[in-house]
Amino acid sequence: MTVAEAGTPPRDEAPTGRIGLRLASWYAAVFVVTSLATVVLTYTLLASSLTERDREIVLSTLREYSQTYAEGGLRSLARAVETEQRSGQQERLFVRVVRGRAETLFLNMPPAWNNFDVSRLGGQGALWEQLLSDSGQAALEVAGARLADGTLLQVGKSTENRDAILARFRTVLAIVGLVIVALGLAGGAVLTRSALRPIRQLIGAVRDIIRTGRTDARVPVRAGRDAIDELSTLFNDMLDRITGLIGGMENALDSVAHDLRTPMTRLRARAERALQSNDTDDQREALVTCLEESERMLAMLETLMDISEAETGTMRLDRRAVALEALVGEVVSLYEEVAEEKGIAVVTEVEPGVAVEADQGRLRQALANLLDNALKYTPAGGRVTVDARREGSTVRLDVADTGIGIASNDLPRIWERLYRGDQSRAERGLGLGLSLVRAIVLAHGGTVDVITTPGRGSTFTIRLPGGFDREFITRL
Amino acid sequence: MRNQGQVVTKTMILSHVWGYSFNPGTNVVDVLISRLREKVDRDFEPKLLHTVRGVGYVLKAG
Repeated sequence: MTVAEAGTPPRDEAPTGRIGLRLASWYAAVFVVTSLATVVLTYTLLASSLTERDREIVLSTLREYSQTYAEGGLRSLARAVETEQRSGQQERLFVRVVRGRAETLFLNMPPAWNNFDVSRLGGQGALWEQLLSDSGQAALEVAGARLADGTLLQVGKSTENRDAILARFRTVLAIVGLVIVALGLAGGAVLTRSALRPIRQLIGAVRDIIRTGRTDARVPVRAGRDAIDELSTLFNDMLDRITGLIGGMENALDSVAHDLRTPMTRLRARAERALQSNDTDDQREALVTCLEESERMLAMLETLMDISEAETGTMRLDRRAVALEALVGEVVSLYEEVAEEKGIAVVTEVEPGVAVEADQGRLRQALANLLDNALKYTPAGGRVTVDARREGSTVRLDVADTGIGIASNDLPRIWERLYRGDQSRAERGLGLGLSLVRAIVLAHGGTVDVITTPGRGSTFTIRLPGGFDREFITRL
Repeated sequence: MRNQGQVVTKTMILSHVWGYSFNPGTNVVDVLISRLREKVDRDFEPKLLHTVRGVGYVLKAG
């Protein structure tokens, strides 16, 4: 008894091999059967038309000679036969006139046909009779007609010629048949090989990927648009997605490992010191610090999870029509007091009726982050403008401030997770706000970019697909 | 009122009251709480809203 080994069983070419064999056999079978059917049909048609032609000749000659006999008697018939046979223009035929049961009055037999024993022919005057040659290889087909004076006129033709033609034809057909079978088998093999090649490549690529664990390998995709090309493309798409997911998880893990270590160490050190101290106030202070740090870490973890989800496309978006007028108003009202306290004017300009299909909570989160940033980096007396309007088939949402702007060497990195510019380090925050905004907007199929002048201010622009008209909103 | 006597953090306040799950960079919650305190506690004793430094706020009498 064999015991299967644990893990993946060894795999070989068997599955495609079996499919290949089956396809090849079916192809060959169908090809050979249809071709042979054509051959057989052709042969049958030829044979029957040859027979038909021979009988036609015999019958028409019989009618002609009956006429000649009726008009000029036996002598006239003999003359006619003589002339026609000698001229060689007509087909050579057997002609006999018999009186009573066996008295032969006239007989014409082409010289080459001597091996027929005509005495065995019946004298009953049946329309068709067949006489086999002595050797049994050919037959004499004889048609008979009773004449007015009671004699029997018989005209016949040997099947020799016909048989010879058909025999030659059979030889040709046999050769053709062999060629067809060979072509069918070879064609089937070639066809299945070429049809299955992409599948074999796909299998090879998948097997390589499984063996090496390298998800950056791709299946070659041909230019065609058949099912196998589509399968290859889909497979590559799946690999892209897997690579994206793994990359996203690795990045998130790296960020977490890197950025949680510092606060964790700090937290630990603070707690240790508090344990060694006997001062209750100091211990209380330490607990406050620990809570503060853990709160921060929790917030960071949650935001990182959000970003990862949005970036890997696993964020669940509850997409509905969101009226931007209401959304902007809501977010701005949250920051009314902060702006007032800092002495910053917040102005909103939303085109009425503009809406997008989006997850309301996520979009609010993104907008609040941008507004929070704008207020954070804008000095007293500044101005923050939020406006939303249709722009072609997209909706554009601007958050502009008159703040400190972004230094040009920071600009390319502001969307990175946990990146904080020099100016940003002085402020509260995790360094995740813009990454989250970007991830949310990208998950909605939109774009986000920034125009900034250091010292003058920045404008963040979100563009989201689709802007519904007013009727759409009122119908909701 | 549900969390009476318990300390609630600023992030909790932001997400439960306004439905924003993010860590604000501005003192948006502090400002809002101080406005609330003006309305609730200014002319009354004992004070109800207390700040737990570094963590958040607590609602309790005394």
